[in-house]
Amino acid sequence: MLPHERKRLSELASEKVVELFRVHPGEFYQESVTHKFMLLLQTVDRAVVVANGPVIYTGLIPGYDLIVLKKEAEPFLGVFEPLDPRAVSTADETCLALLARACEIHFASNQNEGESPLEGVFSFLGEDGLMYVGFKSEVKDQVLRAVGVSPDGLVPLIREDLQ
Amino acid sequence: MKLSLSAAMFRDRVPQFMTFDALSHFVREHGLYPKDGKIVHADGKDLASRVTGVDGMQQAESRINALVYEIKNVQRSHRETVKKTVSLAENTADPYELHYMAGMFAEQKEVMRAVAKNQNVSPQTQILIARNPLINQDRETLMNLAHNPSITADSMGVLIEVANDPFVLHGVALNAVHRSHSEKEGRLYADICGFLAKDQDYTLSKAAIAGVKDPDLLREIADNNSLIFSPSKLGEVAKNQHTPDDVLERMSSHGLPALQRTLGYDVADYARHTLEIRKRSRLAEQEVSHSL
Repeated sequence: MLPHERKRLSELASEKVVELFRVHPGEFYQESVTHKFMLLLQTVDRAVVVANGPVIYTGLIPGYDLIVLKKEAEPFLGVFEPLDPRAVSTADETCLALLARACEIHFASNQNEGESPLEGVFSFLGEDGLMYVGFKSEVKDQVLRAVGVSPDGLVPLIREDLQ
Repeated sequence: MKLSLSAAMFRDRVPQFMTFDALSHFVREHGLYPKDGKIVHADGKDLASRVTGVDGMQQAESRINALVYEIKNVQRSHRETVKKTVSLAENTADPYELHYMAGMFAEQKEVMRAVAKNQNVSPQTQILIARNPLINQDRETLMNLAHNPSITADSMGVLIEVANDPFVLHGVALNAVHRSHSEKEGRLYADICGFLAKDQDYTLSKAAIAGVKDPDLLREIADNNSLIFSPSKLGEVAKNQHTPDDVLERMSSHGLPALQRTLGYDVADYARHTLEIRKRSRLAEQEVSHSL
């Protein structure tokens, strides 16, 4: 994900959070959530760089998973960016809980009629060729099948890789 | 990618909802699936806690220097690009080029300011600038547009609708007053002046009164303002050539408090002066019609 895409998505997410929960004072809190979400996405991208391939993050936001896919033919364009210190100093657990609640409402509001509430994912194709697929943890197996991962294709990431 | 392009392309891209089936198709079509069928599994909880925990602080601090350096680098090249574009926007005489810029550089405040200031800007571009939420958040851009001599009545209407800033509206008022004196389309601008003259903002309505051509409105303003609290507004009414005679005569007989007179708001004087001018022009008209 390119920096401007990341920023835009973070702004969308924080708008959603502030809108849903009517947090006061909205503007200040929105900015803080934006920073946190950006940091989260940045960390995700960083892990993709280290892993150099598709990655699944289970429970990134409580109850929700994220898969990052990458075109094999194309070299990875992303840069290893430094973290935003403002976000680190203000990040907390409450933010994740709020985002989880926002996800829940967002998923529920975007169902097509006649489908059960779990059928589907949210996806975003970044300009650098990375595709992000977000979904509920319950449907992990179905999504993995849909993106062409064999049932025993999960490779655990060693923690040291991220540092 | 060029800054301008990325700004224009990534305006409304948001995550899309997909069914599993659609996802599968999409992934195959774009070749996004892993060829070996393997995927790295990272513990998201662990990752999130690393992000949200305080221990990230040290890491962040150690990277601040790199960040600062990078920002400096980015800003330098960015500023040069912007500078070039701004000078182009200031100097070009091609309305189409300006319109194109307004579309491409919507997120570059400095460029948009220059575009809004350029006198060759077309009516479409003016409305684009006034309407686009990306652009009309910047006060200086709107100010430049409001003060631009080539602004049309339509764009003025949009600005009045969009902008709450009294400074922007003031620019509109000044421009409209100036234009209302012209023969062609003067009526249109006079209406805008009439609208602004009814505004709550004292200075704004005062500035707009000079362009009003509606005698009833002028009478209303004269009736609703007191000589003590808003003498300058009455002064403008007294100076206006379209104020009805009886209002002017009533004004010319006002005894004025010394304070207002020393401040220069001599309403009675203005009214007398206006009446004098009108009398003379009527005499001149009569003479002309006689000689015919």
